[in-house]
Amino acid sequence: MAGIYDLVPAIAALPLASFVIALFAGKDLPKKGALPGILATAGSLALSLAVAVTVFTTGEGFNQNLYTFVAGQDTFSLHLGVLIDPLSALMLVIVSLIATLVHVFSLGYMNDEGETGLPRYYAGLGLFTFSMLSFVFANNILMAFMFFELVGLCSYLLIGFWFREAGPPSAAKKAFLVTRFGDYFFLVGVVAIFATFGTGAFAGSESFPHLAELALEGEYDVNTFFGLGEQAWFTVLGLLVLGGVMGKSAQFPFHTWLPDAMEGPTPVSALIHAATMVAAGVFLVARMYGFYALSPTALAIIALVGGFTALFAATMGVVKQELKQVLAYSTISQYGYMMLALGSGGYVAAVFHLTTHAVFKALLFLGAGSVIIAMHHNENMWDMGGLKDKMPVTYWTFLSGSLALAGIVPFAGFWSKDEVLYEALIHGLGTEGGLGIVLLAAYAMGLLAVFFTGFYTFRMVYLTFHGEPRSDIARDPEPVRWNVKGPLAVLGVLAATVGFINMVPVKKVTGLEIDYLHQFLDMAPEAYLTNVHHYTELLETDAFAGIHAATPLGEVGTVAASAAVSLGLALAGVLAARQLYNAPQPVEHTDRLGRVKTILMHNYYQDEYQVWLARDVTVPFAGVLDTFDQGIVDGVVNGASSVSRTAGRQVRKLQTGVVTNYAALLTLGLVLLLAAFAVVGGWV
Amino acid sequence: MWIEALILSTLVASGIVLLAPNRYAGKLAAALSLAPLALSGIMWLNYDAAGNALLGGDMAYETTTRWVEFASYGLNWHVGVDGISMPLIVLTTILTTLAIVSAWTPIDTRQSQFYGLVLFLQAGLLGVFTALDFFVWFIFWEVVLVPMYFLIAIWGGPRRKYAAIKFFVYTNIASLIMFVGFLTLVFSMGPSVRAIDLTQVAQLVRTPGVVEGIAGFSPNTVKLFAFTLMFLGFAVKVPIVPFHTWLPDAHVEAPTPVSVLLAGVLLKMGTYALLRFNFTMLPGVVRDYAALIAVFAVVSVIYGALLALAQQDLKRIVAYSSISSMGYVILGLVAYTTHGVGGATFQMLSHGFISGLMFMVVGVIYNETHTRMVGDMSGMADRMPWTVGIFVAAAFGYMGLPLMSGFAGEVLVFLGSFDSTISPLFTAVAMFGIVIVAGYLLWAMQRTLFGPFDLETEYEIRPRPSTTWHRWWCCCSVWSGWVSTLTSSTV
Amino acid sequence: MIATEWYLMLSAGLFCIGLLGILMRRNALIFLMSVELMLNAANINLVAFSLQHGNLSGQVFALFGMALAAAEVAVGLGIILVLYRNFGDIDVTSPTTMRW
Repeated sequence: MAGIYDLVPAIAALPLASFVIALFAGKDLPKKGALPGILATAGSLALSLAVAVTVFTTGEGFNQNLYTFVAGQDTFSLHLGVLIDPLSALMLVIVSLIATLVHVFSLGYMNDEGETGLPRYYAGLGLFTFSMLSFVFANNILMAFMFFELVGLCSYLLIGFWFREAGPPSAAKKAFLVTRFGDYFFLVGVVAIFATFGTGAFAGSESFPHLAELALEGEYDVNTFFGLGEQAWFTVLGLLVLGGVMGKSAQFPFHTWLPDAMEGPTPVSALIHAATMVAAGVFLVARMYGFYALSPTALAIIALVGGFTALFAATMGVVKQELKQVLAYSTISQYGYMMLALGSGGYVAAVFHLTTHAVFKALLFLGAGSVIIAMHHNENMWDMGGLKDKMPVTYWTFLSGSLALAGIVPFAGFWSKDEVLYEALIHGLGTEGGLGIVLLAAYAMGLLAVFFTGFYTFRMVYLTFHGEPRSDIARDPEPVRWNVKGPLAVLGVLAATVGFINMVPVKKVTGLEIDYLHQFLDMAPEAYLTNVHHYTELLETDAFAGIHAATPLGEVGTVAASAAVSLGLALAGVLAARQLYNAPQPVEHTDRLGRVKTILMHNYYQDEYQVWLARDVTVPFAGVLDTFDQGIVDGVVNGASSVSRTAGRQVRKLQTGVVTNYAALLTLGLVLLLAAFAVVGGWV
Repeated sequence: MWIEALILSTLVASGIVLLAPNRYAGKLAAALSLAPLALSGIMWLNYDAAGNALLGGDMAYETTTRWVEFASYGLNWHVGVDGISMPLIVLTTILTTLAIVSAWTPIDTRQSQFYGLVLFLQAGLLGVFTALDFFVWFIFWEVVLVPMYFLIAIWGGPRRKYAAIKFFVYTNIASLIMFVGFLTLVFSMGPSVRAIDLTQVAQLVRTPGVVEGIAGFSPNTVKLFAFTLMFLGFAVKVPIVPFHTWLPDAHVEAPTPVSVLLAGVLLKMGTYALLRFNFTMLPGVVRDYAALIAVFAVVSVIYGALLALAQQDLKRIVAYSSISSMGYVILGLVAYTTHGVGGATFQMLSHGFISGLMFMVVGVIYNETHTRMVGDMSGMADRMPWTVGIFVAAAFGYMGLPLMSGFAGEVLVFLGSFDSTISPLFTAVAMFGIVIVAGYLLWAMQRTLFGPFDLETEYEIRPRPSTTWHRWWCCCSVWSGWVSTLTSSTV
Repeated sequence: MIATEWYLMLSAGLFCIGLLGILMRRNALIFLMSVELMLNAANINLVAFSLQHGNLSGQVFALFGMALAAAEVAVGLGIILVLYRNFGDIDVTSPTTMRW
């Protein structure tokens, strides 16, 4: 049954083919390249499912170098290769599923709306899918970096799709630059990992996480730099790679590009936020979790950044006026939860939340896209209202996604978010020292964010769909077709149900073995060292992370209490939103926040200082350097030439052109010569 | 005889084109330049040597003839190719043909002289990359300056005379300094040197005890002195900050096809020579002063990139970014590891293609709009989508995006230099260049190519025959990333 | 027989007159004559030493010198003629356009 694994490269190659077809022949195709895209991504989906099923049934993986692009003589070589284990198989399914649905949805959002430049659009989508899929099955960190960067390129091309306007190109530039800034640290990390371990492989006994493990146990020698000890150096490596993760996954302080990225077409936002670019960061940490599990400091920082980002972004979501802006901040916040889970040792919880979030966030974005079509591209929620009856399919699916996002039982988001918080709580309680305190602090922030999440989610729902229509367009919205409703329906059902794959609280209470995701992720072949029990072992070793679990109320009691608290907070948020905004003519209650609102509307002035750094520090500094270069460095060069020219100009004045002067000089010279001879020769 | 045929065919082509009527000169030159292109292609395919010839690697297509005999030294006609020069030869022939094609539109006076000089320039460049006797090599090295001077001074922009003279004088003085350095090295070896053949000199210099002190200075001081002079000489050519100021002026004033050759091939002469002379002959000095040289490299990378950020002229932006890119080459060379040198060699190649493409696209925009200033135009993507598409592709190549050739070179340099004799801090700092390069290119692109269409100058839509060529070249630049397998295994 | 010194003194005198003529006058014709004086001073020297050493080479050289002087006068007069045509007089300080 290993035959299916030989087809893994085809999963990525199909979208690549659709990219080429759309780019060069898209103009002449019906639907301008959408059809090859749909076929290709559907093919990828089918293959990914087959791969996932194979992994599930056989428990075997696939880890092979396929192509050596730099063969090193007596040094390391660089490869492209494939690594299939439960994690990548799961992610392949998610990415190709979302990509397929986004392609279908684009028929409604782009083709039916009469956009121009569609071949470019579909080419971009194809390349995006290709890059992400290749990133997912990359078997070494350099290959992962390569496709990580390509994902950035695709986001640039797609966010800037409407290049004739002023906003999108600027947003695209910002997205690429901010993530590139993160990628700088990632690249330093990649290079340092190669220099340290001589390999970048993710899985197996020759992989760098395992070598690091051996090195910490003193069984293997590695190069460390800057005189750091092994533990410290590995922490540095982990943090360097984390830079790239924070850039792509929009974690504080690199989150600023993501809200701006809403300038792109809505299906692209769905793809970026749910399954591809933003997910890439978190996926990378999960991919090399065996490495992070060795460093308590790195884990603490991940958890803290995650918890803080979750809360920080959620507060900004509360005041936004535009539908997609709210969703953008919720994305940042939700990825914060995943980081929180990873930092606090909840590997399964993070992957679980990644999965459910991919489904419900794709759903919400596509639903928002449907609303935007209906509203003729007006995104301001204060112009909407009352859309519930006009577009029921959109409403009910959107509601399903919102309940999932808010974390209301039994929708998908509840199960995963609850597990994230539960993991943070028990590990925070059980771990000694600073790491435990950090985890608890991160947990507290994450918990608080639950309330805000419930609030802004339902503020959005009530403003958009409930009450009276507040503009003419909202009274008579444009209808949407099957190609919009179809993907929504699929995702709506999934958002309600996908949480059932890992119902940990139910398992704890009833003792049924229904944590399927956990079991699936644990099925990774022993030799790969990427399975859950290996990670747990690493986490619990005191020489590595030293994270332990503690359940003060007993296992059942703790899980129930944790679930009750988070569900209660989510419900409180939902009810507060209902209280304030479920009115025929709602008013902007956030005005009562006064100056706090101003700060929130300005996103805590995060954009301002980053723009200031770029525009008012770096560019003037470059200007000063330019003046220095032109004035001093080039000045010296030009100075050398002027000195010789001036000297020449002075000396040539001897050449008067008057024979008399020459004769006089001649005579004078002769006399001087004679005098000199006289003195030297001793005549005088 | 292959190399002689290569150089001779170029020279003959140059002569024919010089005599041809202006109307046909461009087409004729392109057709004739296919001969060296084909020859070098065949050489590349039949190529069976590898490694650095001066370090005992194999050499292909070698000929050695005693040419002139005087006193105690002899001059040889000694040419050959190895793993370092072969890619550069192919780069030269490809770029020359493409530069000639791209000159059809912008060059509208004295065409036969223009194309004749371009081919003459090519002959010089091929000579530099193949000659293995110092005397022959130096002649070619100097010959390159002459056509370049005229190409800038006759067909250049408003300040062409200033730029041409600056280029000529600056690089010529540098050559003389280098000349003194090399001769010091040769004379310090006393009677053991019978010819200034590069292979023999390299072998002898590396043998311990052969270099003797001169005028009371110890052998090590003599080596350091020779190294410094040669380094200074080549640094101007590369160029390494602070010897770079001729480059932006020359680029801005030179016509597009000349900029293509200047950035694409002429800069590589500097790094090629550094590799051939300094790093091969005096590795001991390199080891001792690696940190200092690395500082020069890192400063070139960062300083060049920051200067590019401050520019308003698209050509100046590309010119400064060339300085930045060549800094990576130096970094890879000074690391002196397998991946470092391999990456540096590959970076030379990829920078040759990408910067050439970049200059060409800027040239196309200039032909249409008669401006290159960032503030004078916006939204060009609306009117010239293919050109802009290629611009974007080239820019991302410059930024070192994976799967494009720029990435392969840079990442190899980084991998090679991080764990080497120099501190990894240099590598880490130099890597920050990848952020700045993205900054200035994306910023410039956002302001000129995207947004609502607006143009300060006259614009008319004309058929653009040359863009088809650009498309092919674009593919070529983008995918030459995969040639890295070949290159790094040959070095 | 007259001692060689006297010839040399005559020659030196003639030479100095010629030199002073060149240094102090501005008329091109006077220049030419001064040059002739200096050349002939040299000729006197040659002949005088030829006499002293009893060697004829000196006299042969003097003959060469005279031929040279004749040629020089021919060229010089030509130059003076051109000078007069172009500048209207034969002052040697006026044609300075060929310098910087």
